[in-house]
Amino acid sequence: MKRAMKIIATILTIALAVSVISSCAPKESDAGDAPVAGGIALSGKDIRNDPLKIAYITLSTAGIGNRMHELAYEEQLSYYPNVDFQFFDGEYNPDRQRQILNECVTQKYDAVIIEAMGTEELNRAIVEAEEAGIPVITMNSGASAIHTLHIEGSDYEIGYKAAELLGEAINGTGNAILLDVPAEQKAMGRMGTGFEEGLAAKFPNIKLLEKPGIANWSQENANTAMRDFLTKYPNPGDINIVYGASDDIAIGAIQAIEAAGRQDEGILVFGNMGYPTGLQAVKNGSMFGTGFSDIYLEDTSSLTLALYFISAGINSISAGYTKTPVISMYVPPITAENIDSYIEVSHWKQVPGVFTS
Amino acid sequence: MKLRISTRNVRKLVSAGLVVVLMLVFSLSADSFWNWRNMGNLFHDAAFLGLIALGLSFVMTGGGIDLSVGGIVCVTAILVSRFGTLGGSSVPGVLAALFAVLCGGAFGLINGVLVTRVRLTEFVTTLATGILYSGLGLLLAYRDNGKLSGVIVPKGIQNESFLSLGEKVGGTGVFLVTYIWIALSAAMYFVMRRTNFGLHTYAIGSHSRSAGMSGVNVRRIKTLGFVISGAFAGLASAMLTANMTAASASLGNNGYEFQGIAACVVGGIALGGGKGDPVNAMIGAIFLQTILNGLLKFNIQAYWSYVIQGVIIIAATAFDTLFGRVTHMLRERRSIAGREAV
Amino acid sequence: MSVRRFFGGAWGQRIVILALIFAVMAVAEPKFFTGSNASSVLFAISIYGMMACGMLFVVLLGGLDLSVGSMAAVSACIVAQITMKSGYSGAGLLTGIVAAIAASIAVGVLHGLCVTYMRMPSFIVTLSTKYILYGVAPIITGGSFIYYPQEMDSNSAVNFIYSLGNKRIANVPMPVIFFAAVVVIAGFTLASTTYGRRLYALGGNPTASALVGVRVRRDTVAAYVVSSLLAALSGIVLSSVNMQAGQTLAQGYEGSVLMAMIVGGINLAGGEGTISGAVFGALFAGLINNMMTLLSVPSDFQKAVQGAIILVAVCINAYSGRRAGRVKLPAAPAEK
Repeated sequence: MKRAMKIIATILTIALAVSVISSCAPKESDAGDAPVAGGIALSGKDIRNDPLKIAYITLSTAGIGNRMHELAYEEQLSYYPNVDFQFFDGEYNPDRQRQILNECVTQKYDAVIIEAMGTEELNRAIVEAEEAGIPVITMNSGASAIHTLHIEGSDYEIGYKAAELLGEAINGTGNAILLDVPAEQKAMGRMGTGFEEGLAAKFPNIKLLEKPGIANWSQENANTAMRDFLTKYPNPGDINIVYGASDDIAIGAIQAIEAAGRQDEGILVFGNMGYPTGLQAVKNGSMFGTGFSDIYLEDTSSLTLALYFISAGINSISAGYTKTPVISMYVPPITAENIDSYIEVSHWKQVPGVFTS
Repeated sequence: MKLRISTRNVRKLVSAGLVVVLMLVFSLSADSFWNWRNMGNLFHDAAFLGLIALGLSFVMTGGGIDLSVGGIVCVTAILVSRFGTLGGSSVPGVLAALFAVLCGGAFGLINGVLVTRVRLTEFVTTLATGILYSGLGLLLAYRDNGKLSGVIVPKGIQNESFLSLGEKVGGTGVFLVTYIWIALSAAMYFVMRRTNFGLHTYAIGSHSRSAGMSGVNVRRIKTLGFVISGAFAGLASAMLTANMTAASASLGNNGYEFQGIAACVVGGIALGGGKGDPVNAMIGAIFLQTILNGLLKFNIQAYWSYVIQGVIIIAATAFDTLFGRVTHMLRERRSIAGREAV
Repeated sequence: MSVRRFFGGAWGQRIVILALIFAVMAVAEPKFFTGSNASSVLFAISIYGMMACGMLFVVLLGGLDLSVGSMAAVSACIVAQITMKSGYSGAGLLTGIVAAIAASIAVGVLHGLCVTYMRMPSFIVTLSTKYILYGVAPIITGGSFIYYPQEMDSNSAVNFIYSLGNKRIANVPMPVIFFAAVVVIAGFTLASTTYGRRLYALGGNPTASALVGVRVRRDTVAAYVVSSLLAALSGIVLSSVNMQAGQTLAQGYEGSVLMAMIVGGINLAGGEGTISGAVFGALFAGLINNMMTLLSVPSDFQKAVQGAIILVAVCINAYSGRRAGRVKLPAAPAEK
């Protein structure tokens, strides 16, 4: 019995070892239409008829932004039934995104759009994907390795712009509070940095009192933090403007202000992203403004360009890029003046279940 | 005595058999599973998980638990990327990896001292130190303008020698870390089964009171277990950082400790100790990674992976309990109401 | 009672801790002592305070329930999803609440069965269900957050949900009222009912209790059910405060609850501990967060501080002679 066990155990160990060593084959280059380095290979695919696979690797699929992504890609791809479009959840985890990106290369995807968590951690995986002939497009948060395209909503700029608008609204003097992104993500969400630098540059008389990072971007953490600040600065006029890195955070701050009964002091709160809750808050006047990330437009652009790269057989290797091209998309600040027109064009009304007015 | 040995091998066979079955199923139903590239990726990712599980196996076989490995991975990664690669490209990468191992071991030593000298419960202690180490990692991370409130930027490591540790071994398609993992698993297997240290670990796991009375230095063995766990976590973090070319301050949030425990439990390392060895951890890591890989293949949503991992742990523990592999001392202490500490 | 014994005891230690906190804040930020700050802290601790009261039942038996955060999220998602699908009708809301209660009872029973019949360690079972529930929540909501509509004033169901979290009775916010009610009911149960006495007996000496005729299995399962139920209640209240429900609701709250248990002097080995200890622990956790914000401690510090505090609290518990966390090596086997 013991011997039989030993034999079986040995056989299984060998089987395991064999499968490991079998992955010892030299790395194959994958794409049949391997791009030619330095030249432009026009041997791309037929985007109307060939079956295509495109991946979108998110930072996280929780959150309402994802519903807009789904709407945008679904509508835009309705003329391309040959395209298999997959969302992957990055779970705010660069290691996970690396695994998913490697998986996309293994499954021979034709293009990958990724919101990179971290500018460095995905470099190796991105380069491997590009060398396999896959155009990699980074959205909003990019990577330092050379890849095919980077599209960003200008988070730094909208923070800067918010500082300008808010500063003008209080005539250049007063006190400000910044409710910023979670500490680990500050390199990727730069609106707080933009706000801070905008204030410093344009309104040196406005004092930035506090700038905590709100864990998990959550509304209740923002609520709690704002409540404590209201205690710390109890007199009317102690706080004049509040900038939240997202609409959830800003709404948490508004809740705290209302709970403390200080909503008549004229504290101006500014959000970001332009999600339905934020748009509604601007419309009913409780929020001064927000920055509108036109997710639908970003997705349309990225899809259009991805299809272009596929059809032309271009990626950073085949075209010989020496640096990644960057496209910055305009993030308009929305206030009570233009809120109605932006609600109409925002496409949020087409996402079922989020907008009731 | 004979029966015990058979049970041990049977458990390994069960896990290994499950792995084989899973791989067969996936390779038949998904077209990109059984190819060089995918297996290479699978074993690559399994290597990181496997190194952590390897270290954990020593602690768990001794009857303990270490929930701080995620935090140790985070802080050692930051330490390596900030300080371990100083001196630019002239520092051999191996030295930097060794630095990570030493740091990890040091953090493990702190755990061990807290548990054995200050005599705290392992679960709560390692939970607290895990949070503490993650927080330390956040504090020590490289910042853009040097101040504490500056932006945390992942600092790209420039040391070529270190970065080459994260690549495939030239010629073969296998990553270096996979080779290291398998070699270390084999080595630690012999440590566990052939040395006094391993023998004593089993003794403590089975019945630490009588082990103590028989002259086993329980304190030292337990501390050493934690040091090993921390050291392997440090090694895993060094290899991960070398592969990703930068350390992320959010590494502590990724749940590595949970995955490590899942791998150990699935592979056959019974909770409560006294059973299992590093090969179990290796098989468990491969099993877990196969499942995760399969989930990606079928485009199953990420949240299912959490459900599956949780169900796996419960199922595996139930299996082990029903088959009597959970030590009887454990059952007595557990008594009927699910107590945790004495 | 001598001074030393007083300060070694539970209340003595709590007074010392409070005195320390007050001393620091009196110097650094006197606004800490305002009424609005006090009510703010109370509001902040209501949610995990309720969870702590529930988990106390389990801890008295020597176990742990790490799934409270995810259980809260799942309950909130069940209520939100069913209510939304019914078009925000009153019947839908009721169905949702009933379904959430049923789900939490089921989870609690699962915990209890695994722990009693399968003799599995409770922290492994609840750690696993924590992740299982974390994965189940988005399955219920279909992938992302559910937002309750802000502007359906005429709809009574939506108004009811809103008032659960946001209304005030006699200027006390609803979550605080829920918290107070839970404290009173749980405290009464533990102190004055036979069930409560049986729990303490079970935790203190399970073998003797079984011999005496305590229905061990049933009482254990009941304890885990209580914990899950209160977690569900917390989740529904929390989702009412923000008018949203999703996977990451109450994420990480089990850490605060655990910290509350440890700082509150609850013996993790079972058999000792009162509601007042749990409440004090929750209060302490809230005070620490409050202090860190008032003192403008950078966010980067806060995680490290949290870990350090738990560690220090455990050490203090061990050295004060209470058995929480104290392990004798090698005379008695070390536990997880």
